[in-house]
Amino acid sequence: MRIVSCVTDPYEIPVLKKIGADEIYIAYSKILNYGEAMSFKSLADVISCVKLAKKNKLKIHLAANGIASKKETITLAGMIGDIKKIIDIGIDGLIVSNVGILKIIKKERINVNLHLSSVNPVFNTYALDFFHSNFGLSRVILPNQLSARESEGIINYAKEKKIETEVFYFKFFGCPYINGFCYMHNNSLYTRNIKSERGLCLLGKGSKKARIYSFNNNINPSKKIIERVMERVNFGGSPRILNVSSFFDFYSMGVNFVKYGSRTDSSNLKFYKVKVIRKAIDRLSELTAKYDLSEAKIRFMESFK
Amino acid sequence: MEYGIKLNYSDLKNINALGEKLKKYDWVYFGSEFCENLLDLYSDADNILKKFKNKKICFLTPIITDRYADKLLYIIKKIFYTNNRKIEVTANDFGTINILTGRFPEVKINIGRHLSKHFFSFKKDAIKFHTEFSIYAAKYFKELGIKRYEISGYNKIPKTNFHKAKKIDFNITMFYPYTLLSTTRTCLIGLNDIKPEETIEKIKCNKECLCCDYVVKTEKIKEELIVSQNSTFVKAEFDRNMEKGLSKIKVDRIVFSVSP
Repeated sequence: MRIVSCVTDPYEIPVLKKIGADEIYIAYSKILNYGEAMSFKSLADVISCVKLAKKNKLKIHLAANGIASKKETITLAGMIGDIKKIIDIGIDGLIVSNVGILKIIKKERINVNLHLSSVNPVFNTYALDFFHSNFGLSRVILPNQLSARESEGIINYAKEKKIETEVFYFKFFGCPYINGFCYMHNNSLYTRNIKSERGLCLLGKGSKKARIYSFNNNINPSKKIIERVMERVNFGGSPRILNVSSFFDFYSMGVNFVKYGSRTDSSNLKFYKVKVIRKAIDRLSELTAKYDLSEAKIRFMESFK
Repeated sequence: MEYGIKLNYSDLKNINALGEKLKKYDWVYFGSEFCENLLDLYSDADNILKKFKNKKICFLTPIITDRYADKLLYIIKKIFYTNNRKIEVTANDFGTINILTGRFPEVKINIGRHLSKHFFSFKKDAIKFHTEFSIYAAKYFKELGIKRYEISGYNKIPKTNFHKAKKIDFNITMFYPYTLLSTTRTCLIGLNDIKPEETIEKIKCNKECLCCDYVVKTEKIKEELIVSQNSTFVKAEFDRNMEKGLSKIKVDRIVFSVSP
């Protein structure tokens, strides 16, 4: 399993290489990317990153996985033109989610490796087949709301079609709401009484706990369920599927890459997290070489207790 | 304007309670719009259909994993043949679209409220195509025969940017009065906590959400949230007087949800 790390400053590249990243990805402000955080503002920066990546023998990909944009200046023609320029510079892959972008890339016969982003999550083999048959994928990034065992069909299909697979690291990405489709943070559909950046998934943080009532007046749900809903509504939503067990299973099923993608993290935090992931993968490699899978899994999980 | 009513499983059990009110609706929407774990409840969809002999039918489908793909196919096949091949299916998953276009090309596919977020951004007073790429995506879907998008309701005519897509023929179905905010695979209600070391072969759903939905009152926002099954909603006021204006924004069907 190899590591893909985000990069938001060219100087991070040789450091990440030394720490153990195998590939990197960047975002450019003129290319629609999810979150739009810490995107490089100039093409010169993008060129710098590509050159440094090549010098350090790292593959480099470009995030083009935005669905919405606050910038009305990004036009279809403009963005496709920029994508073509960046491909000519030597980017190795494009991370995409929008069906419209995929369609145009195909129509214009733009020759680039396509990675399907988790922002357009694939939860079943038919969905992966839809995208691969229609647009031709090189890689699929699995959503963190799908366990390894649930992904078996998808992973087998990907292996058969020679599509690389990528997952997130379980400790650094755990939102239970469907990525790319969630309105719990963007304030568009409700009116804030208290100004806050926090999403509605954490109602109890920083304020009085939310209260829960039965919607149906003549029904009294059990105390156990009320408490469960209360806890989840106030403190971060429903259970996480991408746990340590699932991560081990992804590794043993041969998933090719693990992504670390918090672009808003400082450089030092990025270095720390990539080191953590590298350590985990090295540990997995060591354990699976020495023990059978069930023993290796027990020992791996123990390291996180 | 066409009128529809969305019935959840518990509504279907109490269909007689609706009585004469059902007459005014052209369409009946049923199914599991957001949660695959509830698809089992619709295994006898052909019997459900018998309650709605003179109604047009739309079957709502959720995000699915491989585990439920066959079940989904089984149910759609039943409805398709029971209803003389005339049904619409709402898809919230590209996999469902793949299944339907491949095996049931006669079925009209609608883009559901979850998947519509791939095309549109929603604000309290507006619905817009995200970008020119979203318009291009809608054009591509039109080529696949998909031209109906489902959205949640508004309390006044929202602003749109649909003039940018005037070359694309598409329509909108507006559901009211519950506005979808977010969906999760592991729901807030009917699922035990998952331990870090637990191997998840499948979601162990207790179907405890069937008991009731939950209102959430918080000081953080003005509105109440509603947690229903695996999704969270806010309630939007819907003014029936604005119906005449809805056709200007491509809405030609409105669907009343008895519950979220």
